[in-house]
Parts: sequence; C-alpha cells; structure tokens
Amino acid sequence: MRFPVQARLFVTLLALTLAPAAARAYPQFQFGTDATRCTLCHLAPAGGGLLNGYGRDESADTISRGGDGRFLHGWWKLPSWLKLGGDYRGAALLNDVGNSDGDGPEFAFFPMQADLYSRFEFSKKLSLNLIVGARGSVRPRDPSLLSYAVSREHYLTWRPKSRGYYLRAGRFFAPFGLRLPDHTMYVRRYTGFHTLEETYNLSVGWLQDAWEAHFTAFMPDFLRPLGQKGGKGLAAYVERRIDDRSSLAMQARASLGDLDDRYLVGLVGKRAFRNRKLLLMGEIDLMRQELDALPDGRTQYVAHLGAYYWLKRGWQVSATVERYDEDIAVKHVARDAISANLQWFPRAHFELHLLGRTRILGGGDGGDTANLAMLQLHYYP
Amino acid sequence: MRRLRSWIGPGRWLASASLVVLALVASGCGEEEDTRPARWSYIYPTLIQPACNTSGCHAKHTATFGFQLDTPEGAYIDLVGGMFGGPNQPFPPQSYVKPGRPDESRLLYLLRGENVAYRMPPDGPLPEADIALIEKWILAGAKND
Repeated sequence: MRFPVQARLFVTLLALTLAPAAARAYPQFQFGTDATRCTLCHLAPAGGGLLNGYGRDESADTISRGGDGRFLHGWWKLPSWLKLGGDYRGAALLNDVGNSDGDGPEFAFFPMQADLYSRFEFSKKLSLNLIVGARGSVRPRDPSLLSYAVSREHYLTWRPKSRGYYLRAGRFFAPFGLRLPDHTMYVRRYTGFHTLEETYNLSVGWLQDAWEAHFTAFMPDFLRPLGQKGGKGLAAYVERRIDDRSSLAMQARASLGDLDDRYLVGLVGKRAFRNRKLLLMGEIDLMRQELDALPDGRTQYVAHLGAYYWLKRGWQVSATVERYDEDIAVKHVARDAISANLQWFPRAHFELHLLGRTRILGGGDGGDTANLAMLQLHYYP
Repeated sequence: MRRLRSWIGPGRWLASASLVVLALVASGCGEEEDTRPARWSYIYPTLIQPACNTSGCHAKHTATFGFQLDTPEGAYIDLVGGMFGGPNQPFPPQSYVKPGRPDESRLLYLLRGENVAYRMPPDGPLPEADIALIEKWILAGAKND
C-alpha cells in the first residue's frame, strides 16, 4: 500500500517531534560488535549521533532482535543529500540520595530528551549537521518554556574521504574519552563533558583503519551557556587499534578559564573477549586544577571501568565501577559508584534500559550512600 | 611497536589499568586534617559550580527554583543575600545562608538532606567533608572573600 507524500511528511514530522535521543554513542559497540571503529556506523567523524546505512543495518541485524533499521523503519526514503534521525528518551526513576527526614526516595517520570538530528550534504565533502530539540528535566519548576529548547550540536564538516583528514567547526563535544550516553558517569560529569556542555570548536582529525587522531581548539558556549562555563583551550585524542578486538587511546586537555585553569591527561582502553561477547573498557584521567584561592592548586583523578556482556542477541548486561577524587591531598572527599545495567533491544529503533547505581561518598570511609534505579525507554526513528 | 604489542597482549593492559584503578581506590590518599581555605573564592569554583551550576539545574537559562549559580558574584548574592520561596514554591520565603549561623542556613540542610524534600545535588550529593567546609565558611561570616 502506498501513502500520499503529505501523509508521510506528517508522520515523519510527528515521529521526529516526539522523538528526542542522545548525541552520544554507545562505546561498547566498538569491538563489542564487528565494528572496530565508530565511523563504520556513524556519520560524524568521531562517532555518535546519526547512523549511516551500515549502522542502521547493524542496528537491526546485529544489535537488536530484528526489524528494519532504516529511517522510520524504511517507510520513507529520503533524498541522498538529507539524513534525518532523532532520539526520544523517557525515564522513570527512583532516587534515594539519603534524606534523613524519612520522606523516602524521590520518584519521577519524565521526558529525558527529545532531539531531531539532521544532516545536509552540500557536496560529497561538505555537510551541515544540526540537532534541535528539548532538554529533559526531572524537576520542571520555574524555568521558562524557552529554556527547554536546545541545540546540542550544529557544525560544518569538511571531509573529502571516509579515511584521511577532516575539518569540523561548530558546537559539539570535542572527541575525547569514553563517549558514554550517561552524562552522570564521572568521566563525563567531572571532566567538562556533562550534558549540554558542548563547546564551540575547530577540530581537525585523521581517520585510518588502525588509528585515528583528533585535535580540537575549543571555547565555551558564548551564545547560550547551559551548564558550567568552562574555559577555552585545546584537546587531543589519539586512538590506536591494537588489533580487531582492542584499542588504546591517549588524551590530553588544557582549559584556561576566568575562574581556574584545568589540565588533564588520560588513557582510554577497550578489549573484547570471548568472540566479542564480552567487552572491557576503561578510562583514567589525572587532572590538575589551578585557581587563585589555592596557590598550589589541587590534583584530581577520575577512573572508570566497565564490563559489557551480550547474553544473546538483543540483550546486554553490564557493570561499571567508578571513582572521582576531587583532591588527592584531602581525605574523605572522593566518591565511588557501582552500576549495573540491563539493556534490551527488542527490535531496531527500540531500547529498554534498566539501570541501578549506588554512589558511595567520602572515599569508602563510612560516608553516605545514594542509590538510583532508572528505567529508560529509548526510540530513534 | 612489536614490543609494545607483546606487552599489551590479551588483556594484559586492561589488567594493569584495573590494578592502577584498584590501587587508587584502595589508597587512602590525603591528609586527615582539612587544610582547604574556607573562602568563597575557593568554595565556588571547587564545590558550588561543579555540583550546582549544571544544565537543567541552576545554570543561567534554567535557574531552577530561581537560583542562578553561574557566576561567583551572582551565586553569592543569591545564596547569601537572596530571599527565595513563598507563593507557588514548596517552602516559605527565606535566605539560604545566614552569615555566622550555620544552624539557620537552609543550604546546609539541603546539602545534608535534613528536613527537606530533596537532598541537593540530586545527581551526586557532596561528601560530608565538603559540606563541613561550607559550614566553616558560613560560621566565619560567609564573606565574599
């Protein structure tokens, strides 16, 4: 049966309007599937966001338990110069942060994210990426309606070939670290990559089968800062694929701001085992913060280790341990977190994610704990 | 490169990385006595900004509950000089920091989750040592120093 163009357009717009999604990637799919590099499935030169044709096929044939991974389930074929997509995430959470007045844990059901992704190809080499959407909010009190409108990314890319150099300019997260979708993970939360903290960048990179390198000059969002106002500076990320199951990356970042200067060096590694059913990945960053009030500055570190296991096609379980120490010279200020996840990809375009997370404050010295359980429904058109 | 590859071998680098992480986790680094300055110029960039000035919370464009904590000057005025609450809010109008009066400073109750609906920050409460530093600053007069 064929539907008129107007009907297709209406359904497309409806689906995209309703559909929010994360501009971040699923880093466990590198090596955890047949993909050894992010750009095999994603259009962006550092991965994340819109999927290419192969990525959409994989979302149905490898990741999930079937279906049609094409845009809107193959219902609408877009012209070759246009790519559309999106992400919708709704969540229910139970958050117990240790209130002592007996009120019990907070329960909330909320729209987490609604983003429309678009990519316009002006030529084989030049493209414009634009994400528009609405930010999520657990406690929507006071802020104006306009404050919910966001554009996480908007950038131009000059990429002559799929391998080789590229240039990118605009608003996006500089390629750096584990590109986890969960912005509360310490390696994102405390390194300048918290949600909606994308910077304006000029990025140059080289992509090859065995390695990739990204160098980014960044400055804070001067148009509409939505998170911490960081500094301006440089970031570098160089990843070497050791073989078709493992990679090791080095990274560094220097940020000079009004309040403080921050320097970071880190390592990121991934390794798949057991015929790619099991993936281990980790990141560790050493950070230095210098500020006027503390002439000697302070040294911090953040670490993340995760294990991801495919129970069967469409079902993945994972566990992570994290630590963030905000000042290694001071006792009782570190915090740890342990998470367990169950992700179910019943069909292409759908994901159900159950998360349990315990945060332990004070570096394991008998401090408080905070517990979170969250059920997340994710759809991408 | 070959030497590097043989060292990296199956899982060895990850085991090494895990050991480093575990060693850091297990190590009780740091001094027992907290010598950090109880001054706003230290507290804001190290505790308030990273914990509270996040998108969807108390950033400039979201300013949940009216709090806008995106600059040290603005955050100081809101916390120490401001009156928040009242009509359409779940709490009566009040100031959040009363200089020299930690027991009357609502900020500390929020950070500790005592007699409040929500403990702050909800996505990552502060360790008690950090809250104690803020308390020390309030006790010393909560100056904008």
